[in-house]
Amino acid sequence: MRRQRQKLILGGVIILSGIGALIVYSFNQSLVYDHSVAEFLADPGLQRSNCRIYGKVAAASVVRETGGIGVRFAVTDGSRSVPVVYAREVPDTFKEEGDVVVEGMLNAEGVFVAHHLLAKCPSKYEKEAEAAVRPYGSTGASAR
Amino acid sequence: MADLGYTCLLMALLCAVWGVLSSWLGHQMRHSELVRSGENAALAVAALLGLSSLSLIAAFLADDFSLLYVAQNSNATQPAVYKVAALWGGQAGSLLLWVFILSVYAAIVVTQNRRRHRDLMPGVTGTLLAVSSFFLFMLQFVSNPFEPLPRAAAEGTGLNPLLQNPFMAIHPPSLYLGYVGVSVPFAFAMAALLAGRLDNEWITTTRRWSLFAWFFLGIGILLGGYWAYVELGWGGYWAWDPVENASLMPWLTMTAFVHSVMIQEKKGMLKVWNLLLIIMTFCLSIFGTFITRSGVISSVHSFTKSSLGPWFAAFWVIVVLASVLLLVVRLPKLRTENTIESLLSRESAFLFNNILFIAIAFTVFWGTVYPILSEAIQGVKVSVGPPWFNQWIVPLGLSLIFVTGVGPLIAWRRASGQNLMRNFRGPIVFGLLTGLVCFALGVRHLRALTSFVLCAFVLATIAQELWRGTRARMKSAALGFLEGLTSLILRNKRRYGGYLVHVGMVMIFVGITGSSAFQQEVTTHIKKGESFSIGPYDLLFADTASSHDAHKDVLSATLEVSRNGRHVDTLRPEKFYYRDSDQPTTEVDIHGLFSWPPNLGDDLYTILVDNDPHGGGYTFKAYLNPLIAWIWLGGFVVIIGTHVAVLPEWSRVPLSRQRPAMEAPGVVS
Repeated sequence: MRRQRQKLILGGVIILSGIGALIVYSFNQSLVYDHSVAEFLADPGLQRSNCRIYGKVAAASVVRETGGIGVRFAVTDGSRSVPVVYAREVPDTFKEEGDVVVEGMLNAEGVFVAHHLLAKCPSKYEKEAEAAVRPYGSTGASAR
Repeated sequence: MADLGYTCLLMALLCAVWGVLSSWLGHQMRHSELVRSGENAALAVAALLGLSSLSLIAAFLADDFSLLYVAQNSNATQPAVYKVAALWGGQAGSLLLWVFILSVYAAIVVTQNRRRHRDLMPGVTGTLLAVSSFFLFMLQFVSNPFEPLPRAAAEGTGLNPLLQNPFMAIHPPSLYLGYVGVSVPFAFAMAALLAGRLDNEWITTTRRWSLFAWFFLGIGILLGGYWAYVELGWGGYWAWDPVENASLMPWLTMTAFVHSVMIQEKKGMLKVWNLLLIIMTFCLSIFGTFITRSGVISSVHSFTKSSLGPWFAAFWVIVVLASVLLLVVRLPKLRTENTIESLLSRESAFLFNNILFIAIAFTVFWGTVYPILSEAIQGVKVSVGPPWFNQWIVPLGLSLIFVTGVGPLIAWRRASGQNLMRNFRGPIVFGLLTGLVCFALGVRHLRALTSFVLCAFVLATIAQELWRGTRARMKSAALGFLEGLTSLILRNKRRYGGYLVHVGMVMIFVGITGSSAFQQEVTTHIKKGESFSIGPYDLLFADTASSHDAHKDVLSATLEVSRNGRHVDTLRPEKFYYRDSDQPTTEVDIHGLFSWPPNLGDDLYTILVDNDPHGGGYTFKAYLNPLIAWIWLGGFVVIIGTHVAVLPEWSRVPLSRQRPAMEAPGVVS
C-alpha cells in the first residue's frame, strides 16, 4: 500500500514537472522583448529581427493612407524617432502623443513595418483605475 | 453621508479584529460565550458594511463630487444605473464591495451554523474575519473610498465609456461573488486543520458554497468574454489578457477541487490534495483581486508606486505560509484510506482530470506572472502573446475533454475489458463517425477535427448514461420516457446536474473550436451603395446616419445583409464620440444568437472603423465567427446544470424502491 502510494506520488511529480519543463522551455522561444526607441536605434541586431518598440506617437506625424486603411506615423521617445507604417486599421485609442507599442521589423528603406499595434490613452484615467478596468494592451485597444 | 460611511468602516474594522480575537480565545479557553461573541461580531461587520456601501451609493446618486472616488468615477449626466455601477468602477469601491460580500457570506455561515459544527466554527469565523480585517485595514488606511477632495470638484470625470455597458455593470460583481465565495470553503478547511477534525465534514458542509463560488466565477468569466465580444470591437472574446487570466486561474483550480472532493467523499483518498487545492484557489482569488486592483499589470513601476501592492503581497505571503504550515503540521492526521489500484479506473481518471486542470492553471500563471517578474527583476519588458498560450492550452484542453468523457463511466478501482467495451464502444464509434462527417464536409483543421471528435464522444457517453438510467427507471417503475428521465435526474441531482454541466462545457468547447479555427476577417474601404462579402454573406452599404444626445455624437452606417442571395438582417455598426472624452468608441453590430431569428451557425460581426470626410469613403471591418453562439448557449446549460446539482434532496423514497437507480452503471455520488 505504501509503496503504491509512493509510486503514485512519484509518477504525478514526474508528469507534472515534465509538463512544467516543456512549458517553460517553449516559453523562452516565444517571448517578445519590448524596447525603447533609443535602445532600438542603438542596436543594429534589433533592427534585423522582429521586435517591439514602445514610445509615443510623434505630434503631427500621423498620415492616413489614401484609400482609408492603414497609417504612417513616427514613434518617438521625445528626442529621436522611428518612422512606422501600419497597414491595418488602428484602434480607437490610437492618437497623436498617445502611448503606442508597435511590433514588426525594419525594412530596407529604414521604415518600421508594424504587423501589430497597441495603443493606450495616457491622459484620461488614473493608472490604477485603468488597470482595474482592463489593461489597455491586449483586449480593448489592440488591433488584430 | 460620507462621514457615516467612513465611521461604519472604522467600526467594522474594530468589530472584525474583536471577532478574530474572541474566536481564538474562545477556542483556546473552550469558552462558548466568547465564540458566540465572535460570531455576533461577524453579524455586526455585515450590517456596518451594508450601511457603508449604501452611503457610498447615496454619494454617487447625489453627485457628491467632494469625494475623490465619486469625482473620479461618475459625473452628473451619467445614467443612474451607471452611477450605482460606478461603485465598483475603481479601486477603493471594488475593495469595499469585496469585503461587503465577504461579510454577508460570513453572516450567512454564522447563522446557518448556530447549532452545527460547533468545534469548527471558531476557526471559520476567525478566518473569515481575519481576511475581512485585512481588507478593512486597506480601506481604512490605504485606499479609502470616502477620501474627501481638498475642494469639491464641480463635475466628475465620469465612468470610462467602455464600462458603460450592461454586461460590464454585472461582470465584476459576479466575479466578486465567486472570488469571495472561495473564502468560505477555505475558512472551513482552515478550521478543520486548526481543530484537527480532518474527516469529510468540512467538505460536505461546504459543497454548496464551493459550487456557488465556482458558478459565479464561471459566469463572471463568461460575462467578461461576452462583454469583450460585443464592446471591444476586435471580433474575439478572449485575449489571454492578465486580468482575464486572473479570473480563470481560481476557476480552474476550483473546478479541480469540486471534482476531487468526490474522490475523498467516496474513497477517503486525496485528502492532502484537496486541502492544497482549496488553499491554492483561495490564494489565486486573492491574487486575482490584487492583479486587477493594484496596477501591477500596466507596469511594475506603477505597482511599487501604488499604495496597495506591497500590502497585498505581504498578505498573500502570510496566507500561503500560514496555511501550508498548518497543513504540514496536520499531515500525520491526513492518511489516505485507499490507493489507486489501476491506471484504468475512475480514481485515476479523476486524478488525470486534476493534473490537467493544474497544468492549465500553471501555464496561465506562468504566462501571466513572468512578464511582471521579468520587469521587476531584470528590468526588461517582455510580452507573451496568445500564440504561446494557445500552443499549450489547446492540447491540455483537448485531453481534458477526453477525460470528461471517460471519468464518469469507467469503473471504480479497476476497469475490466468488459466494462470498457460496454461503456465506450458506442461513444467511440459515434465520435469517429462525427469526425468522418466533419472531414467529408471539408474540415481539414487537425486540432478542430480532434476537438469535434472528442466533443461528440463526450456527448455520446452522457446520452448513453441518460438512456440506460431512464430505461431502468421505465422498467422498474413502469414510467413513460419523459417521466422516467425526470425521475432519474431528480433521484440523483448532483450526478445528473453534473452531466448537464458537462454538456454545457462541451457546447462551449465546440464554440471555442469553431470560432478560433475558422474565423475569417475582411477589411474594406467603400462608398455608399457599394457592397462587400465575407463567407456566405453579402453586405450592401445602404446608408449612413448621424445623431447626438447629451453625451455623445453618433455616426452609424446601415448594412443590408444577405446570405446566399436572401436578405437576412440589417446591421447598424456605429461610432460614438463622447464629448467629455476625445477618444471615439466602436459599437459593433452582430448577426448572431440575439438576432431574430437567432443565428447559431456563424456570427457576422461588423465594425464601422472610420470615415474619410473628404473622399466620402467608409472603412468597415467584418468578422465571420463560426459556432461562437454555442459558447453563450453552453453558458446557459451550465447555469441550469449547476442549479440542478445544488437542488435540495426533497423527496426521500424508501430505500427498497431506490435500488434500481443505484444499479445503473457508474454511480458518481
